Amino acid sequence: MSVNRREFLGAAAAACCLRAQEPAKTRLGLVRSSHNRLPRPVPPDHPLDADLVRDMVWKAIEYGSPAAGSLEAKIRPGSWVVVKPNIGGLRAAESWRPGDTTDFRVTRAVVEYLARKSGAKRITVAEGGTYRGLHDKAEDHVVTQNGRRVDANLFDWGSTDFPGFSGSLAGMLADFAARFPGKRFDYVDLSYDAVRDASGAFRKLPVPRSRNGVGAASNLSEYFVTNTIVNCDFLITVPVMKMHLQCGMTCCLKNYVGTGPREVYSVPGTFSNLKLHRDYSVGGRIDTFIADLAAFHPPDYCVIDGLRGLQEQEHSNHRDDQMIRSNLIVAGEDPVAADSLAATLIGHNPWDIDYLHHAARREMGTMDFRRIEVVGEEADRLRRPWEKPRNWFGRCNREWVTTLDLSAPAGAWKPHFSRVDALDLVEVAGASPKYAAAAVFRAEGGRKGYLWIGARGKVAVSLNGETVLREEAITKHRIGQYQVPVSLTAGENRVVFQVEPADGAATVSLLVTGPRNNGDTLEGLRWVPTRG
Amino acid sequence: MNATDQKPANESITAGATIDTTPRVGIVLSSFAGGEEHDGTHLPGLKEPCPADAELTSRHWAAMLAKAIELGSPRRRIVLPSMGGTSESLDWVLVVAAPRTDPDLVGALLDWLAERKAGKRITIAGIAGHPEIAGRAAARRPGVRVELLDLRTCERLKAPSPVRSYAARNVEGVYSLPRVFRACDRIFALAPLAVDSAMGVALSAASYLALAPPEEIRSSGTPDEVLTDIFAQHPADYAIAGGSWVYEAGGGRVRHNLVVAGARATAVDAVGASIMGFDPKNLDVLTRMERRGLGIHDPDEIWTRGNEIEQAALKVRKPEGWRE
Repeated sequence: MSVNRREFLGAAAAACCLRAQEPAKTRLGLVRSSHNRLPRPVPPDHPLDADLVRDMVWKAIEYGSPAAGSLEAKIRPGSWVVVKPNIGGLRAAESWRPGDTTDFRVTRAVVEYLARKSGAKRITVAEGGTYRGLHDKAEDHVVTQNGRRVDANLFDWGSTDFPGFSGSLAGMLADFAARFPGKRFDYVDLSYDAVRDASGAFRKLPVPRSRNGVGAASNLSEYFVTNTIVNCDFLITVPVMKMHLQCGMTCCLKNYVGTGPREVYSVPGTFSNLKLHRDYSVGGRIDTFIADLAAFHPPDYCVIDGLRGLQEQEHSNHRDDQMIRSNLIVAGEDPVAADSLAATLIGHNPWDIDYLHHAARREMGTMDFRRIEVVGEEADRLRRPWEKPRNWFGRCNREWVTTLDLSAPAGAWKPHFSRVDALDLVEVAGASPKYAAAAVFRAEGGRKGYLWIGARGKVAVSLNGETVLREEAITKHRIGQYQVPVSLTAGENRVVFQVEPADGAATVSLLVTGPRNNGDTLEGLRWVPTRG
Repeated sequence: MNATDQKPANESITAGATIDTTPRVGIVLSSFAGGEEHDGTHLPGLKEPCPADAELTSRHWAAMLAKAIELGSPRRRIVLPSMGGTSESLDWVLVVAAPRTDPDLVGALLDWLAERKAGKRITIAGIAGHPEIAGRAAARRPGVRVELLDLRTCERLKAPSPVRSYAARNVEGVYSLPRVFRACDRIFALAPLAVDSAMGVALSAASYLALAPPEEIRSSGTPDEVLTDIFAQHPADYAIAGGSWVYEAGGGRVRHNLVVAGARATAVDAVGASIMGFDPKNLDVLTRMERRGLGIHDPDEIWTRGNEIEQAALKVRKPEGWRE
């Protein structure tokens, strides 16, 4: 085909316009302690000191510049800036070990950056964890040091757990106050900061709708939240990057669970957000309320402590090999992108992290790496397969078509988007002696993998027309209960379930894992939407 | 607790109403006529205590097992983690019985499950020679599928382990395990107290070795490496060791009616080993299991209830040249 000059110029101009319309990539800074542009690069197994950590944090912030040009440019002069680390527990707890909480050297570096470079008027470190406040009359979860009652603010960490940082958070803030007299530095215990009405009673607030009209992800649409998170001008999430038993990983967005006021969400004898987990989980997942809590004030900026983290679970499993030192810092303004990168770094497939889908749906950010620019290190080279939680499984297929008439042509089957991992056919299609459901996915090339099938009922499952499982599933439904090795076709693959109810129940679920068969979705696999 | 978890002595946190993490293990000899808790509380004994070397009926075994499970269950959990509740009644339960497991003990466990209406499907591995046990359980529980699994012929899934593996020659942890191993919801591990020439003892956790083909075990690593790899994939939800006989090195056996039970196999096996005169801290398999987070093996950190270890202790012949 020949193209004349006029056509070529026209096409080139159109391509330029198209390029101009593409959204700008979100930037993430990724810095390892060995990064050659640091003033003093050290190996990735170096214990670091406060200056090295500060250099890493600041370099990552420089690389992960927001659309405004720089972090300080994004903060309006006179702002109230809140820094939210993860201090879910204190060293006194049996479950604490290094890597469990955000490294105080990272928190300090962020606060110092804000103090030196931004026009922030008030800088608050805010957190709520499994420890009582000083004035709480309850007797459980009271922390003492040398016989003196302490909280996260007063807890004295000594000088060994975070080399280069010693003393308490309160001491650190007092030091900043002395050095930067024009600014206010304080600590807020979010556990006791619930929004109240005029009478003083706790007051729930509705989950704000996103610009694209997305509301609560959970079944309940109102939450108890804290004054600090709702009212501050600028919020920086500073989590530690680690595995999590329930949602796979905890990082920028999961850090919001610590913003749930425990004075409301705990039950007597405990000091966790038990009611939050109990009342706002959906389909056994906590991801819904993670996204909802973040919606009250999405992060304006993120700095991830990837120095040390815990594999296999979020708190100590008392194994010598649990803590992983990576000496990494990630920074950027897009929490979904930052968490997606963190997920990749610890060996997750970001598409398996359910709360990222909820947050992306709210346009809180992107998990599409084609729209993410990582500056500093090459992320692929730093990826390590951290041990995942036992019983881990990624986000299952949600895009289904169903029918009661198995002879109906595929195009006549009814699309259904499932909010949870399991598809309840009785709920979706009503009572019937037989059901069929299908899911379609694309695989990048002919791959080996495993179908992780959950089912309740007499079920026959086929992949691309070939029966791969027949099972009388009379026991309860469980994700990945039946694991079937399969060979996938490059391009589209179709899985069809035929189900007869057992004891009136007919449910199915489907995950496609890779050859490691570890609960991760096969790399590059994408479910084909059925919603039209 | 390992070295990295040492806390400064001058700091503390008051306990909440959380689950007591101290493992409990019930020890019940057939002669158990009652005892005392550490705080002096009276523990009722068996209704029909018999000498530890007497021949017992299935009724005796049912009573001993129920008592051991009652004593070995975690505080705030009546028996198993809410075993017998609505959800658990729909469980697929796998009973893994080691070779030489006392059939009476298996039968007692099935009766115990039946009384609690636990399990919608029950698969019993390792007692293929005793179909009457499954037949009796099936007859007792209409609507529940009870089946024997023949480990020589069963359908297997050869797949990498979803958890990290350590066997020296099988780092991906690829084992051909019965398909039910991944499909079941709960596992009960049963075994007699037995001396093992390679590991010192073979107790409840060792029952898992019967799940993998012997040639795969040999090619993967040492028995204790393979055992911990497989066990870590789905740790037993409940562990029971004991029966009529204790098996010694050299092929001998001694009648000793005993049930040791608890929710943590490592702790149960540590107590079982102590009863047999081994120091659990010198057993590589138990040390390895503790390192992998599969429980505690120091008897001093285990709360034993019922008979004392010393009361149940038995001198058994150890393997030739055993290093202790």
